[in-house]
Amino acid sequence: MASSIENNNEKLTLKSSDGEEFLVEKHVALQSTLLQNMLDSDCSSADVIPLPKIDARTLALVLGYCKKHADASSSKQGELNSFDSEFLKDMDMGALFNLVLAANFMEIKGLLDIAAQKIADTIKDKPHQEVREIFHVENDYTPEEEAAVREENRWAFEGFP
Amino acid sequence: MASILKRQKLSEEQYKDRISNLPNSLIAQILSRLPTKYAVSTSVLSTRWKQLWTSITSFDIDDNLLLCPQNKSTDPSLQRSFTSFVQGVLLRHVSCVQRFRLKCSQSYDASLVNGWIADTLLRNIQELDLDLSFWMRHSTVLPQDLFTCRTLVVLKLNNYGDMNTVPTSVFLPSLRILHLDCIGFVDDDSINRFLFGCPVLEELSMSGCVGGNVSVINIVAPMLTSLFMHDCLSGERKIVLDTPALLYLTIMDSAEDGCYLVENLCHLIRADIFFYAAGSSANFKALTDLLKGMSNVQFLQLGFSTEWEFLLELLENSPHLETLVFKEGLGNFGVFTQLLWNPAPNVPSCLLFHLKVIGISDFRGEKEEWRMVDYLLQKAKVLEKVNIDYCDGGSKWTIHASRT
Repeated sequence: MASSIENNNEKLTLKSSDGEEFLVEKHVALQSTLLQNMLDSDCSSADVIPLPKIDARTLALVLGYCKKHADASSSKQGELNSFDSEFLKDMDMGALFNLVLAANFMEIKGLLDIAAQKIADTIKDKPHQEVREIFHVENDYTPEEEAAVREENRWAFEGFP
Repeated sequence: MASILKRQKLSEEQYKDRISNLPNSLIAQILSRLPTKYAVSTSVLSTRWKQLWTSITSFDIDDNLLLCPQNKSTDPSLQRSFTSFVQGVLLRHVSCVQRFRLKCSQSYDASLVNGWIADTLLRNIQELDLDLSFWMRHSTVLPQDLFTCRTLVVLKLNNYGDMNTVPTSVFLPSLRILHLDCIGFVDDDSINRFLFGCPVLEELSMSGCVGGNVSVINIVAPMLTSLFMHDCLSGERKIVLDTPALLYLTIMDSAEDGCYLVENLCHLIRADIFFYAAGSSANFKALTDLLKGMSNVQFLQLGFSTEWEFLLELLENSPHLETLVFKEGLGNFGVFTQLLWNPAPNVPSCLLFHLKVIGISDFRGEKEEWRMVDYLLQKAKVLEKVNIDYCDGGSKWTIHASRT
């Protein structure tokens, strides 16, 4: 039906894992390659699209990002860049992981890029024990095994505290 | 009771190892964004992480970061560990290396480095970024396959010394971004052949690309939108800009006898032009010619002393100008300039309809400067904002004015 007609006001409904429904303009939803493919493959926009892995809080964040990027014209790159850097600022780790998984699942490249970069920046320049503590990674190496790992690529461990 | 359970669940949630539970492909994407040294060192976090870094497809290898933190750069066993790592990485990633950045400040066996670069070309490389040490630049030769690589999208070459190896046939059909920094070309033919072989180029940056025998550089690029030229003029060299899609142009150069010739800049909207040693009448003409070619420009930043005659010509040539910034004040005035003070009877149309912002740095407050400011303020009918930075020896002040 209407999904084949180009209409900017067309909307579709997304449903989060915890059952909340979000009414989204089509051009905003198209920021997600997953949704784009679903719409292209004749999935009616009248249907509710379930997103069983994404909770309402995360989905609201994702859609906020998509709306900003869908509405901005290409000449506003500077504005988008500052939006992007503000977007993840002060976000707690739990929310950041939910977001990176959602961006990965919904195939939203720009969001995936900035979320992955934020996690990478958290790892960078930190001693390994600190990285373990931040992310709650349990070191299950025996001391001998750990020493062997370090020796295997010795140059990569030079200069770490 | 329920709320206690909920709180307990929340705090358990908080202490869960979320990062290790991400899918491998996602962890690889995160590790690809780190300098390779950090990515590899995550192997020590836990057994889950031992092999994760091996699926990264993007490499950022800087021997300065790898070898020098404690001045152990001369330790030959570390160097060996490093070179065998790079070798191993390239062997392991047989099908795909998305990005390969190599910065060497040490000197290595040139045939080894040449081999690495040649290897990346066999692995569907999209982005190659090479910055070689002073000691290596004359001993390394770019592999000929580089000039016909179909997958390459971004190519950045720094300090590669003399490029005396541009083959007769250059074809880089996917190359969109090209940065050349301190690269010497042997003659007109080699640089022009190189640029001509990049038909879909969108961004070009050339810095310090000189070669004594290069007299004409033809930048003929139908899809180029961004161009940065720094220190590329010398002698009587001419640089021809035939770039109909160009939107942004930055030139930082000295225009003694050489010049930029505009063939096509019809879509240019922003230009930042810095000329050192501008002021002789010869390059005044060269600048006017350059600016005449930018008739659609909306944002113009000038980093050289202007003169009244030049300013008028500029305004007349730029009917769509919205923002005009003088980074180096309004001019060095002598007696001679006063003779030229002759406001045109017809006010340039950009002043009547478009010019909204004027910025002046390094304003010296001379009489002639005030005259020019006065003229601009009176005639610019849609002006919204003016910023003037005054600087005279010890005293400094700034004027901000905006129409509300």
